[in-house]
Amino acid sequence: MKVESEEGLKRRDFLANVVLAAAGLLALGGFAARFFAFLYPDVPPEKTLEVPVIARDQIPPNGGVVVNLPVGHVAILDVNGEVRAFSAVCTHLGCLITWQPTADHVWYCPCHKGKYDREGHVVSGPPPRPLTRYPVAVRDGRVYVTLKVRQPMESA
Amino acid sequence: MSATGLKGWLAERVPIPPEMLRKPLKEELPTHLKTWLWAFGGTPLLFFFIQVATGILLTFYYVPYPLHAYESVRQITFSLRFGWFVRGIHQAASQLMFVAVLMHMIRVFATRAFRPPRELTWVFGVSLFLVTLGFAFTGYSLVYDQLSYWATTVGTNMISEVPLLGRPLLYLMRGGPDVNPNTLSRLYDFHIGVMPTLFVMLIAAHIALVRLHGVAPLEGDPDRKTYSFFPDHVLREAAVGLVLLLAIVVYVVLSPPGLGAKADPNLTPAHIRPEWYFFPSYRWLKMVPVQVGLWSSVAFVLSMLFWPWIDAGLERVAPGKKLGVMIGTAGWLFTLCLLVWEALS
Repeated sequence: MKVESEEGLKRRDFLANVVLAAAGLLALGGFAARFFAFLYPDVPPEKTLEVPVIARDQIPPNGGVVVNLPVGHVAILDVNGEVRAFSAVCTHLGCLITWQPTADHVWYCPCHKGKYDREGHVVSGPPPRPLTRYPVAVRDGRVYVTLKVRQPMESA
Repeated sequence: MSATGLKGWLAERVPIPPEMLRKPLKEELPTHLKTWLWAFGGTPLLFFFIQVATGILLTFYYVPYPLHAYESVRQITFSLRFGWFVRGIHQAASQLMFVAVLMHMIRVFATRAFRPPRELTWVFGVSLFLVTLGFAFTGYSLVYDQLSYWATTVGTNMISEVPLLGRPLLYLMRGGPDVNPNTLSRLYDFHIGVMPTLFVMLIAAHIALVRLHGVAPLEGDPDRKTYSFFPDHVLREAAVGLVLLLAIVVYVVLSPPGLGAKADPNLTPAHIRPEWYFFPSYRWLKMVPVQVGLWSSVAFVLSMLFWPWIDAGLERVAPGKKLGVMIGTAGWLFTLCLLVWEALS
């Protein structure tokens, strides 16, 4: 009888411990979830927008230029009169590319020496993907580019 | 109040048994620790104290907001009395702290002091090394000059390459999709809050284990003679510490800290390179695709963390051949080659 009662007590203790541990974990999880939600930023949704970027005659013939807009960085290129537009953000680790007119006629990233050709394809270096290409329209002497934009983040 | 009186007064109010204080001070250490090379274990701790002191001073003037961060660093460096000195010491000690941790780690690796039962001491030690790198990265980001800004961009972008969790982790770390005002305050918080707390906890665990296990004996060393921790070894540590302090002061006086151009999110500078201790990973990232770079770095860190068990496994595969030492040394040399290659290029 004594043994049974001891076992019963142990079982009860065990169950009490399980309930206590579960309650503790639930409370910790509740705190952790709210702390995570507190730290995780509100990321504005992306929307597609056509934005004026540059006057057509400001693009050097057979050359490129990077235009910095509040909504993003756009690389504009003239290829025998045709205007092309890319994201100026290197697909490797996010630095900004520049046009190399004198050397290879390539887009060049100074951070890890990645190079892209006039199609935006990787010529050399570590970038894993081609540059993101944007649809372009030229109207009334201005170049318009359609890109996905986010509202700039509010300050801290 | 006389000295004895004060001692008595204190002993009454803080009743710690004298033997409890005496025991750790009189700990017996193996005589091989008398070699100067073994006196470097305490130096990272000394540098950490220097960093805490100078770091607290810097927070009196530094403003962790993009519009003011650069100006506040400029004010500290060029306008405030001894600002150049405080920032210079903080900067130089951060580099020496990295060197000290690395040297200590290499010494422990070379003498295989991580063998059972001291595996966890090594794990805490490697974790301290990783947090030291975290300190370096976040601290560098706070300066908010061109190199600092683009190093932050590149460094945080690496996280986005992690499959599935990459984007959420990036947003969490940056406080948004791009480097923005939230990023600076987050990095600042990591630098002065999260990391120091973690560092102190790791140091406590590391030192507690060193004291509980005692210093690892040298492999195959029949000499079991010992000497006392205090004052003999403490004096050695103090001598090394004083020489290094003097070296830092001389270095800062001769080469006070400078400041690059203000961060421009619209222009990546033509010649960009991180601080020298990130040269190996910088060179490696130029050589291999980003996914390879990321996962090989993760593998490198994991193999460092779990080295005691990897070494034991290799010892079982080829007993007495010291395969672990050879592979580990090859890893260190490869990293050193990448560093020198980048430095010379």
